[in-house]
Amino acid sequence: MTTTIAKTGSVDAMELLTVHLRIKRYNPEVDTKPHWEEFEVQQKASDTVLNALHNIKWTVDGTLSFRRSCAHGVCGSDAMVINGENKLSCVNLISDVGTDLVIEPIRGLPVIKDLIVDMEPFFAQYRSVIPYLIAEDDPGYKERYQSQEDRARYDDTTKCILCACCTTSCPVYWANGEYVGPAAIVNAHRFIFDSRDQGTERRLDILNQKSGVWRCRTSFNCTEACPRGIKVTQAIEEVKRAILYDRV
Amino acid sequence: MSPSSTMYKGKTGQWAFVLHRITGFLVFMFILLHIVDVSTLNSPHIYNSIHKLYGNIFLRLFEVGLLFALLYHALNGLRVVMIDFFPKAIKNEKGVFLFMLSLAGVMTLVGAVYILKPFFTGKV
Repeated sequence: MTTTIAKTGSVDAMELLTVHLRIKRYNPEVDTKPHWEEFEVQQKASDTVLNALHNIKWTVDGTLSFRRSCAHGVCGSDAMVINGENKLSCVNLISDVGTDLVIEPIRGLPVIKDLIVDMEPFFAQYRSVIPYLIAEDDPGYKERYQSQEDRARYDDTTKCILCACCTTSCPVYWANGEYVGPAAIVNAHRFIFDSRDQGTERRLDILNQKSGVWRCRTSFNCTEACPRGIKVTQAIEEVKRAILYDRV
Repeated sequence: MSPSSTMYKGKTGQWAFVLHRITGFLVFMFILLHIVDVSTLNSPHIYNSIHKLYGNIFLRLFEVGLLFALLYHALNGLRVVMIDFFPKAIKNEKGVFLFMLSLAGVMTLVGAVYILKPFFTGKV
């Protein structure tokens, strides 16, 4: 599955529009707290929000800082709060999000500069669930076979690109950074329900702790925010049931 | 000028969660109040004069609000239990939320009639 993009309407894709952006900015060297700055740029309706940010950085204010790498919804670098919702700036078109944009850094992680946040707590939580295949036995001179049904069991959670849209949309995570967060649980789910994996017990033990799955209060913000369309809350619930019933 | 902090635009699930927290807190506060008024039971005249207070319109309206908080908290709690235990419920969590909210609303209206009627008819 590709990254989800809303369907474009009947807007002329080449039409030039005046896009008004209000961006929450913070420069740790001069600012004591974040402030808002306004910009106006000309963009095509088919441009992405990232195009508008590039336009500002390259032609208006070179100090504007944000992360981006592939710019096509695969690397997961450019998650930000666009008009109050976590989105990837590179896959949302001006024709979909409108010409009046309010852009902020994602919440719950320390802001380093402008739209760049410190992702380290997020990655530390990701690493804490042992997000790799644990298979101690020797399969011999062959592959570790898996049926199509077994592969389909965790297909949804293989789509994660670690953009942090889900984790930083979670009200529980904003209030309590100790919670491992939806993204870490999604990536644990990917291995917990993998028939070849042998680390299930260890991962369920980790997620059964105070900072684990039980912090989830089913607000569904993560599911709404995921740019890959992963049913995040459903994955968390499956892990909760796996712990409760002690079976996967 | 832009606000210094903006609201995260979550959908129904976020508001179900927020309302659950608020109603939970209100019910907890009421239980504290309830413990205080029940603890006066040893001196019947104090107990009775406190309970006369509950007859005025403001406290009756407060009780209607309390009834809604209790109903919403209980019914949304059931919704969360359903999401936790029945994999199918999660596919329709928005519908279940709207159903529970409406049910809490309707039951509150019915309860409001019983709570407010004595004030207007004078038969306390």
